[in-house]
Amino acid sequence: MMELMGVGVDLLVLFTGFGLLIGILFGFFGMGGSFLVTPALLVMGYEPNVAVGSGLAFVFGTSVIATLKHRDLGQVDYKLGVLMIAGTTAGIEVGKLGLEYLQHIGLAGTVVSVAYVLLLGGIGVFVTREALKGGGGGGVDHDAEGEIDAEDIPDIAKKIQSYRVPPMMKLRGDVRVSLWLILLVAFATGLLSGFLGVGGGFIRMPALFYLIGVPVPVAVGTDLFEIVFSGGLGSFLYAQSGAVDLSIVVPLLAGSALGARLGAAATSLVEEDDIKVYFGVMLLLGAVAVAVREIGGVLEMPILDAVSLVIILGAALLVSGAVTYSAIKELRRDKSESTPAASLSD
Amino acid sequence: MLGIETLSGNTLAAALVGIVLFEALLLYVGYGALESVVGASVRRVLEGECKVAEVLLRRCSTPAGGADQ
Repeated sequence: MMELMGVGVDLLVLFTGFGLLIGILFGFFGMGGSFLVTPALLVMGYEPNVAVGSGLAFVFGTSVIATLKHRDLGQVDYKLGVLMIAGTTAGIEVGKLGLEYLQHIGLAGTVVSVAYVLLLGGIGVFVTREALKGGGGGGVDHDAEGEIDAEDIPDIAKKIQSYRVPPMMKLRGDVRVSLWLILLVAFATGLLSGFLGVGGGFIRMPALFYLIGVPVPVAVGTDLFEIVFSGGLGSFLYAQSGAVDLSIVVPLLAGSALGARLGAAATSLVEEDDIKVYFGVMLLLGAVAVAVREIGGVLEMPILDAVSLVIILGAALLVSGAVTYSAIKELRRDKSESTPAASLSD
Repeated sequence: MLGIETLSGNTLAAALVGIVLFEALLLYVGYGALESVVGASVRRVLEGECKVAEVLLRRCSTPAGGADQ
């Protein structure tokens, strides 16, 4: 079998295809990189530190590309991003202390596993229910520069925006929120992220939309901007011990670079409620996969690790396919609306 | 690979992260250039205006305008 960079061509093709799939989800949701890559690399037999380090390096590279694409579309709020980084970093440190305490009393494994499944599932149910409640009708203004309609702002975000504790920050979509409340939300998401030991894109993206009230595409773009820094720092720390394997990262990134462009472009096409439904479904299936993996660990049944991976990969394939289908459907609808049919001319 | 085997610690980390960043930027520019060349044609295929074969055979006329996202 032909080899490139010491890796078989079949494996390179597999990594590139897998990267394309993850890139679509990453560019579309601003989450899902290490969530998908690390378990897959572990099942493929890579050492845990290489799986985590390479996963982080891949997330870093993909987030750079996806952020640049979202920037082109005017969907990154740098001011909000920097504030989120500051608050999240503080929250992660406190969350890590909580985790260390649980490790000290020997409850970390159980508590973190249960909390992770409940949080994934809980956010998944909440986001899906809210999106379906919204009715899905009525086009959504995807213009991140324009003002967001009051009815598009979630009730919790309206409540948070009503607390006018100075200094007030003006964000994209003409959203005004107190600096302190942004830092509080960032701290809370960082706390959960540090406690669970996860990247936290699945917590931050809904928090930016439901708690701060920025439009979904801006929430995705700003979340990705933050991941550039957290992914860069994480991969640097793992790379110090050489745990970043370029023969994994290079082909994955080649695929995800294209996928992230497609996913990011799709956020400006697909209806906002549809984005939320896909996000919710992805989280619910992720919760099932994590639960299956944890049960496998408790029952000492390694086969459940493979079942968990199949569920995650199946979910990724299903959701990225649905995203692509929706984007093409919207493209065709936009086209038919912009070119009036001959039948209308009579 | 790439002559970084002899490095260690922070130098190795900086080199690895730098390579990933360089590849990401290269791919962003590369796919961007590809998009500007074939983006309009791909979009017309996705919109159902042309078939893939028509684009490959250059039988799908391109309207005036720039490339699409």
